[in-house]
Amino acid sequence: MAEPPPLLAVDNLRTYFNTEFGVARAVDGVSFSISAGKTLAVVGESGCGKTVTALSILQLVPMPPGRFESGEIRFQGKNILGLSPSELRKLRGGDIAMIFQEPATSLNPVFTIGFQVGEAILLHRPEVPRNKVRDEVLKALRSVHVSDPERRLDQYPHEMSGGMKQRIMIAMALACKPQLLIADEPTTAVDVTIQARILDLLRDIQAEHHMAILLITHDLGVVAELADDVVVMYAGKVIEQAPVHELFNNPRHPYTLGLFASLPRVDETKTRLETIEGSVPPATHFPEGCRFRERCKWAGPDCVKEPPLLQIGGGHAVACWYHETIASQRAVSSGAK
Amino acid sequence: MTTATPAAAKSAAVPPRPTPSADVLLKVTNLVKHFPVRGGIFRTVKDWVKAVDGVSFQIDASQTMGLVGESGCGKTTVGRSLLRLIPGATGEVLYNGVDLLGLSRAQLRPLREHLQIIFQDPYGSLNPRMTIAQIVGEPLSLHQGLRGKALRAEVSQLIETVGLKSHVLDRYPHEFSGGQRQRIGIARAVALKPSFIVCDEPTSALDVSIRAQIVNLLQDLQQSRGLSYLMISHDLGVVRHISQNVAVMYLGKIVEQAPTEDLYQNARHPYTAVLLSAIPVPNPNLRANARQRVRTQDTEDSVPSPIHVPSGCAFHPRCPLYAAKGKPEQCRASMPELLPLAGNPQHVVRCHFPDDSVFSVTK
Repeated sequence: MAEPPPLLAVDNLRTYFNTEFGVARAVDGVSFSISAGKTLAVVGESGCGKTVTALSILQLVPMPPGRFESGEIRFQGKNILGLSPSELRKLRGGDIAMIFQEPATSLNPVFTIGFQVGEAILLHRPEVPRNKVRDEVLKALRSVHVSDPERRLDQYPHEMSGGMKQRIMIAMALACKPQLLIADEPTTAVDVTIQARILDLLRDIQAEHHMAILLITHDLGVVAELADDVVVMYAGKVIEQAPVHELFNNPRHPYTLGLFASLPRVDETKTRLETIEGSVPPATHFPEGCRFRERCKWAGPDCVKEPPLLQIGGGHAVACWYHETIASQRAVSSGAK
Repeated sequence: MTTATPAAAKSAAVPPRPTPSADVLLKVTNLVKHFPVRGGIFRTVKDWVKAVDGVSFQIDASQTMGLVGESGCGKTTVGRSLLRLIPGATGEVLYNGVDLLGLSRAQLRPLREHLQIIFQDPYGSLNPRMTIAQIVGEPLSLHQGLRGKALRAEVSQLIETVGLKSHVLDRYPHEFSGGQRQRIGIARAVALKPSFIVCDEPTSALDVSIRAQIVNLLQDLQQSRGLSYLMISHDLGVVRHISQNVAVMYLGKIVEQAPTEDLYQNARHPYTAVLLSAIPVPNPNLRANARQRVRTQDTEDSVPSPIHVPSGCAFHPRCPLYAAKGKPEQCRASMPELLPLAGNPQHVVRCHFPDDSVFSVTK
């Protein structure tokens, strides 16, 4: 392909955990890539491995009990798995920044906002002289539209609302002009009006800095709002991958179909919600073959073999043996309606 | 505490169970609950949090009323106050004609059979030291005196009603997933065949696919048992799906209330419009910049505290309509009444300008 190499490429990543119940294969052969300036959303339910995937990129997975079984994570073409601690420290918060779900617990309660944002600048931007750090912090706070930034500098996290703390986290992440921002459920803990404003902010900042975003979420509404490409994960595997419009218009995997069908929508009404029966299996006891087959209403004899991620054109890939049958059956039944 | 036996108390105060045709099951009038804010060395009352400040609504038999709003608006306090789980609320809560707030604890106890609650957190609301049989059986043995085999049979039937297998009865809560635990909480709530259940964010802690299972279960139980629900949620999708009527709360007051479709398609209060348009729609063709968005006029990025409620209409500092209309004096000066729209008595709005659609003003 003529495209430039991606900013980040995750290749066949396996992150396992040793537990008292056996080996938990939390991330089991996940591959995807992100180009500069683009947003990739990783979607899935709790326990599907999306957060462990994000933590693996920055190597924040506690080891032991965690370990990398296989795989490569290439950032700007260079494998970053196995970098030395000092090289990693430069990367984290420098070229790759991360914001977490719970802004209240991610900020240190005993330091002021100014100190915490300034610390990131001192560590990662040695070209900024010490007496200019305060100005840089102010600039960072202004860029995320924090009101009255001079006063905020000397405040502590408990003096702020949840939405404001998430803004501070974003300011801290952006202070060092990262090329990749990993956002793990950035709006799950805040109210909808605040969520809308944070999504606006992320969109504006991305356009301004040409930054790539890896968005981890379970909310398909947030995905539709922000993503360019989507990876759907289930039980440690990527089961479907497509550009956002393609995925929403033409979902193919039974699990993705089930996720869409089970959404109560504000923009349309339904009499009864469709459900996916059962629940996600524990990571220590995934079924052999297709991991979704026990909950799948289309499961057939082939499903005891593990389905590969098949390319079906237009950048759309799906891991299901029967995706063609299912698509044609659905076309028939929707035509009959 | 009282020495009256459950049976004696029951014959004294229990109103007849509602027949399906009965109209109003629960009528709440001017419910008020203020919490004191204490401070200083003597813990004196410095201020009041007006969590619920004059809320009125009614719920008909076999109907669901949705109560929506953002965190801190007082919606949970409404649910708990009307079940008397939080003491000290004033106003009137008529359940089949009996004022729940005026009853003594002994008089209230037999009524607890009729009035139940499902909690948000399926992890915190089940006692980890009790088995499922004990958790679901406790209300049955306390209120109906069931014991032994009869109790066990009733419990296993309940467990199957909520979609679990009866062989799980002797397991403990930690052995279940979030969705299964919420099913156990629902089994406990319906064990005494209540007629009214407060559902306090029953699906917020659950994954998307599990959420649909629980919503369907609640609807099935409503149909088979003629239940009424007060559905407290910030998830406007779930509320639209399950409710016949919806009330929107802001800082302790209802700002708009209407039949569900009317509210979602014809929102008149600017806050309702802001809430509805803030929800991301799962359709990439309708991104925020493509669809009509109504934004708050926030300078400070926070909901004002319910201790220092702004003057006049509490929403005016954030209100897009207030800004668009050139900051009219009356929004700052007086709190608008909750009044019906002209020609639509079911749809009530607390706004000085209910006929100025926010969507057209801000376009």
